[in-house]
Amino acid sequence: MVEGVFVKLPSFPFLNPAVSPSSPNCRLGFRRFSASLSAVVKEGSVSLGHSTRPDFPILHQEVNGSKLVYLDNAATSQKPTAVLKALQNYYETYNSNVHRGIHYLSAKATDEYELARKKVAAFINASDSTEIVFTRNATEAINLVAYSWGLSNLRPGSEIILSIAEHHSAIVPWQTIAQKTGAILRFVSLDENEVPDVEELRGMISERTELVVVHHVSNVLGSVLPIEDIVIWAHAVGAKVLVDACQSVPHMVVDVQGLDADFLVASSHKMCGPTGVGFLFGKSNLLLDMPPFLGGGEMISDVFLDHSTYAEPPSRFEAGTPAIGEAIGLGAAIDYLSGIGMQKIHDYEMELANYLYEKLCSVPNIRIYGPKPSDNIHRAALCSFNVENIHPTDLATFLDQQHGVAIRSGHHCAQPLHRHLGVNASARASLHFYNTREDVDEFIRSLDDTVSFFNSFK
Amino acid sequence: MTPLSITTTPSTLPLLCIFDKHYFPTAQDVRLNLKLPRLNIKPKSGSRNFLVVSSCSTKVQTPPGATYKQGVSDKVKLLVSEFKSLTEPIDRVKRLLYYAAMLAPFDESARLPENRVKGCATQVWLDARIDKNGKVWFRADSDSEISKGFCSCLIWVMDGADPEEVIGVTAEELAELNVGVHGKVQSRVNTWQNVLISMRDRTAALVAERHVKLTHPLRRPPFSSVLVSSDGI
Repeated sequence: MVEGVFVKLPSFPFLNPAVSPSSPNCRLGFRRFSASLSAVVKEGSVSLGHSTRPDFPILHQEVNGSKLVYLDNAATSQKPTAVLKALQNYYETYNSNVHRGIHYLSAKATDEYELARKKVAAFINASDSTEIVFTRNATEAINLVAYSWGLSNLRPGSEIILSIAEHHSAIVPWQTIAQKTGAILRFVSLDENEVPDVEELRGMISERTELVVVHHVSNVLGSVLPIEDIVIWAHAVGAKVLVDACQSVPHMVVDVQGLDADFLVASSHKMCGPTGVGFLFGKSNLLLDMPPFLGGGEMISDVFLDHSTYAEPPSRFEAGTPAIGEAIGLGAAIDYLSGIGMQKIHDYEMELANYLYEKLCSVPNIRIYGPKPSDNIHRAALCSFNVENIHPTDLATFLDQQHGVAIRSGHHCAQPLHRHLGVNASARASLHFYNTREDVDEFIRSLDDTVSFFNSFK
Repeated sequence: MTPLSITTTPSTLPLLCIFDKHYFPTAQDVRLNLKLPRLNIKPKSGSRNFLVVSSCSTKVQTPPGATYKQGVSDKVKLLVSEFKSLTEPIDRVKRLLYYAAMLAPFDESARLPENRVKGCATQVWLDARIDKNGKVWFRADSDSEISKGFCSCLIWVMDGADPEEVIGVTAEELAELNVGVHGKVQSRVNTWQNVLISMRDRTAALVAERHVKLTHPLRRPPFSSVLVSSDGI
């Protein structure tokens, strides 16, 4: 239900040169591309969004008197009933500490926990489940690589290449490690499409490069990087590649062997799993050479008063009691996603992404960040944007209060990127496979109403 | 004084009389006048000698003349009751935007990094000064209209007040102001809370600085350049 009055918008010139340098967001070519994509993807009579929505009880509620329209999936995803049931079932029937217990419950918990690990491995096509380390989230996984691999492999003058569009979790740990080891951080800027400049990155890779840290899909720009190429260039000089796959694993097929990535991180809560668990994929030979990150139980072999010996990976990096139920919940999420099929999810979200972009273009004085979709450039189903003269936080507040539309505003943990774009904050709408075209329509209607409201106060 | 009853239509903005005219040294401007709602002022016989202002949901009664000399705690109560009377969250947003328009202009020379209020999702600048009478005065600005609205309300409460009163205002007292942030969460987007904390901290610092200067053994002229007197005093 749309509340509020839809006010006829004042006639602004659409292409306002003050708003953005790349303002022709809706060239005819883009519309033709979008139409041809819709023709190719046959959804059947019911879209994926409509068919999966019943599985997500949280989506069926009202906030502030309006139907909830949840468009903050890049921040966290919603969980299907199957995951909730798996969690409840764990705590109700076999909750027990893992790996050391002898009794029945402990054995069952251990089996299910290790089965979840196998599911993660299979989901990203890792060659063995011992290459999967469960962590608290992707941030902890990156810190693990930084403190464990980084401290023992980086020396003064070693170079780490990142992009300015990285999430803070992919920048800050490396700043700390660079300080400790004398390594140097080098940042790749954006090209004219507002995507990290891949050619600049290629040029930066040299004999001094030890590590390339790069996102697969940007949580602000919606861009997708060619990880296979980056890995080839990095490996040619003996450098490793750490892929931040938080925004890719939930939305598309990710094959770590196909990418040949050395490290890859993701969080469960962004892929329909519970919070509190994430994982690091690391190639076996790398993990075997890495010292522990956190010390405690589980990760040891023998403990003496003056020294200890350590377990093999992945246990070596899983100190203390893990988030057992949550890991099992992640396994259930993977089962759910695999049941739909990641390619199907990706195809549907691509269409939704183009629809969102196209509809957002119609809002006057809007500036959408990231590349324009085309035959060569695919965007993820998220758009960060600003509307001239209206603070994104004000937009988000009004959208929530008046229309029940949940978007995010702020810097999305990407302050360097926002500084480069010349803004303090942006608003972001991000979709997942349980969103529908109607959600996008409602969002745009609400956004139009919001923009009129704020403009009327000026 | 003839008792008055002022009624306003729900979508307009009542309670203008709550605001001390002194608060708006520059608010005697065209924009404010243009935004005045149509007020139907009818004499009401037989009622007590109060200036009664009714919104669509609640009456707030203020004794005549009391607005000019209200203490901070009275103003806090008034502000809270005003926002509490707005049961629809969107009305609170609209009210904040209205007050945002009333915020006095911010001196660009005060737009310094040290005047940034930490922890806000939006950018907020706060300038705090203490005058020769020991009263504390504030100016603020933000790139977000809703944040400006918060600043406007908080400044109305605490502008020209004694430092002790400013420092005594607690976040809990103003919890009803929550607009756009549900519940009483300690979230980093809780702008008004961050601004309040900043106003308290800056006041405490100004008082400490003033105390040091006043007890300095060297004789200082009575109107030291350190003590900035506010406009209109």
